[in-house]
Amino acid sequence: MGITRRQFFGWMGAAVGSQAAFASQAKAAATNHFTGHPGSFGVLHDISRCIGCRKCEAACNQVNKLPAPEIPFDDRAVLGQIRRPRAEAYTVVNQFKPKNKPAAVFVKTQCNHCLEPACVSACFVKALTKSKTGAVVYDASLCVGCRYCMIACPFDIPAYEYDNPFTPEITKCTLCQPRIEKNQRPGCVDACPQEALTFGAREDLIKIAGQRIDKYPDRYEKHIYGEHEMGGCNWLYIANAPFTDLNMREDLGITPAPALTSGALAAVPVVVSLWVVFINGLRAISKRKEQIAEEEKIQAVNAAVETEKGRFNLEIKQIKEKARTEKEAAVEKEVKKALEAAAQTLNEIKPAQTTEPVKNAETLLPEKQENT
Amino acid sequence: MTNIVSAARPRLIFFALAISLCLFPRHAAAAQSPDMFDLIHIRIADDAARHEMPAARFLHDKHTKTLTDQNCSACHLKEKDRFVFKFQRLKDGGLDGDKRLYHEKCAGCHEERGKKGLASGPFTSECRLCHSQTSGIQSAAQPVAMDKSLHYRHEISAAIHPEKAGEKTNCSACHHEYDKAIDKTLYVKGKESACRYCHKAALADKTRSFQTVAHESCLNCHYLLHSTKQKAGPTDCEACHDANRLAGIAKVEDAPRIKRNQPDSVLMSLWLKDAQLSQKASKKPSKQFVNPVAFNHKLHEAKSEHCYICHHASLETCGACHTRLGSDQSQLTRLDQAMHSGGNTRSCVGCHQKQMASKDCAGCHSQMVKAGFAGADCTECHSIGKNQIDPIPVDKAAWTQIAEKDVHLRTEQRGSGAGDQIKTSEIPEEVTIDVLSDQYEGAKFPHRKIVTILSERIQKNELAGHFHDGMPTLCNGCHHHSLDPAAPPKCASCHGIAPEPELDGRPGLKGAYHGQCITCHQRMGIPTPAATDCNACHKNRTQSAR
Repeated sequence: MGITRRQFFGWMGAAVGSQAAFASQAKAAATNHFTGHPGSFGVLHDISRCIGCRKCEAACNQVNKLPAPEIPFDDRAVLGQIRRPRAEAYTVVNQFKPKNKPAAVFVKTQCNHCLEPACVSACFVKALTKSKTGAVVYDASLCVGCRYCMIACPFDIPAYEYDNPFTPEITKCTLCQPRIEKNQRPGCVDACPQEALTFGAREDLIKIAGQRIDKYPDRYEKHIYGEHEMGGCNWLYIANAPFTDLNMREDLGITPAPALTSGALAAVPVVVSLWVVFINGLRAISKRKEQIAEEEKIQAVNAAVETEKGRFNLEIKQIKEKARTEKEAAVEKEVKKALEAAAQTLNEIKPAQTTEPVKNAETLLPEKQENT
Repeated sequence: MTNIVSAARPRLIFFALAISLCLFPRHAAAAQSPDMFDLIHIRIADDAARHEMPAARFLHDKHTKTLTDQNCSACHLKEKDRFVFKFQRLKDGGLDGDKRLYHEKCAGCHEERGKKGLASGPFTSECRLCHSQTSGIQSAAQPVAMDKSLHYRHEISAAIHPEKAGEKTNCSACHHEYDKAIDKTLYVKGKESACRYCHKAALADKTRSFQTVAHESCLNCHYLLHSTKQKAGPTDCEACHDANRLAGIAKVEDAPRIKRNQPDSVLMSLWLKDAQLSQKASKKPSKQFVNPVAFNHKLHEAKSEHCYICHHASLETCGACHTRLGSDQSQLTRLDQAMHSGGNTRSCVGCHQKQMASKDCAGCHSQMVKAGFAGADCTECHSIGKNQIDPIPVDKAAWTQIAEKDVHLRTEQRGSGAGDQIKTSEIPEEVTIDVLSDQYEGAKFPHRKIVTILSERIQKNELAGHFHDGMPTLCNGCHHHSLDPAAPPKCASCHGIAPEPELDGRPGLKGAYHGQCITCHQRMGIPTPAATDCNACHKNRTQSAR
């Protein structure tokens, strides 16, 4: 018995489906709801307080010892265009003019240090890791430059040193991890004159954000951005305009990025180890069955041929035998006839000699020869 | 050949589809057409479940301008010498009838004009050109309301005649009441009120919608006057519904008060009224209830453009519907809710809060936490002491007198400096804030100048002057949470420079200074100094010596 190609695909489809269905419930990320390492830090960005002075950009540049920019940080004309973080700028401030708002609204953009980052999940060499302080940390010594992290990030944050041909690195906000470890605040937080950035424990920041929204309900949108987006981020935002008017996506959902792929990924070892064995086993069985069937077939054919042959020979023999006897009989008959005719003739010729008919004409004949 | 085509047909179809989808975008990018003020959505109200198409979009002014004689009878029929502003009919004929009417008459006219080679609209076969949802036309039409000036101009207009000749005023030309008993509308003197009290947004029973009656009343009269070559209001959409055009209407400054027998001062108190009406009650004022309010109706009337801002459902007294427990007429809104609920201009407190959001006030008030009743001083409004109503006054005149006295007293006191004052000389002229000096020199703050300007602005505003009578309240705008506003503590007493954020939301010192000053400037619309102009307030430090 063999298995047809159609049947094979049918079974495979069913197997894949059931595997994926069951595997999606058995994985580390989604069964627990990760709310951050306890005591991890974050930053609350109060968009209503930002005045677009760009002192945070200048401080980031200084603290991280980045090269001086082409356009100085006190030039506010750059706010005319929407910018995104790039190789030498870990953070940028953008200006928006939402409708129904008399004044412009400014938003600082940088890595959001997600609780379950997509970039960490996408990096297969663990160059990006989520640390206990809340920062998503990049280790250039492990990076292979595949830039999967740039594709994975839902906020389009990681930037790449395209101008550096030999040792390009991914660049993004580090949450000033070295400064945090020295009990200092990130550079941008210190620099902001309006305290639009508040640094503290993530739980505290959520509380503070909620309080501010309650105290000034006419000012703020009733939503803390980053509390649940993509599973939650360590960088939180409250704003005085709808987030969609500020280029902040509200269609990301609350599922963390790793949870979106862990179902399929969890299935891979199972597929690679067990399925290979089972499928090969199936193939072996199938092949063996075919082989046996083949052998049996040959055997049966041979046997049949033999039988036929035997029967055929027997028949021929019988026919030949029959033919011979018939021939003999015919010959005998003819001989007898001839003898009788001869005797007759003899009787007619020799009536004078004797009156004795020749009774035994045979005796007149020469010695009978044996016919075969 | 046919064999090849039939075999490859699915593929051919696929490629044809793919290419056509790429070449012809599915959504025509809506060209940004100018804002229109005459956009009407034609949707037959009957039987909404049977509608197959979205509402048809109709530009009224465009049509009236094209059919140049501006004669409404081109599309509208007359009933009793007044145009009925339905299209080509006096009564609605149901979905099927009206649909046919619209298609025949509209598209028919378009087709006729099209045959003559004139520019015209879509034909019957071009459904989605009328029934379009993505045509890019935006309606910028603003609602129209008759303000005091416009009302006065109608009042004194010789062209508007009262119903019965010989009446002294022409109110009956527009104002009427509906008498249910005889199922007629008739004019009742002394009961004139806003159209909106009966004519709501949508058709209800026999009461037609406000839109219908407003257009019918106003436009018919304007049209009639135009046709007799008299000066009258406009008959096209734009002239009223374009905010710019509306603002350009000639205004009568200080139009005299509408004569509707409205009071100047009102003594407001529900329990007092009950006590007065009840024969059995003692003549002493109750200790259980709050002090009455002496309400300056004249002042509030002068400040509002429309009566219906406060008198939102009728011109009766508030207590008629807003009883202590609420009634069916008030949808169970109690009197205390009606008077005190925030966020709604109909309530006293709500309207005052809205005033606090105006530019003159928002500098301080936008930064104040939305407070509830805790800490509020009720006697600012509930100012009639119990001794003033002991014994409880019996007649209306006495009531009015009590209220008038109090209002008069308040008006005199306001801005007269009767409250606590701080001498100008005691206010520092300039304060140097250099506690956090690092990259910049200390900021030189013109303290006295700012206080003086704010103080002057307050005196000009009756509301502010009432609540901020006296300097100390004004000081609290910036020197908040201080026991003695005249001697406020340093900001650094409470706003520290800490690495950890305060869990009660208090900003650090840098954030407090910048937030306080910059936010005030932003809310008050003060362009200079700009928030990002650091040197305007504090110069750069030349030697950064720390």
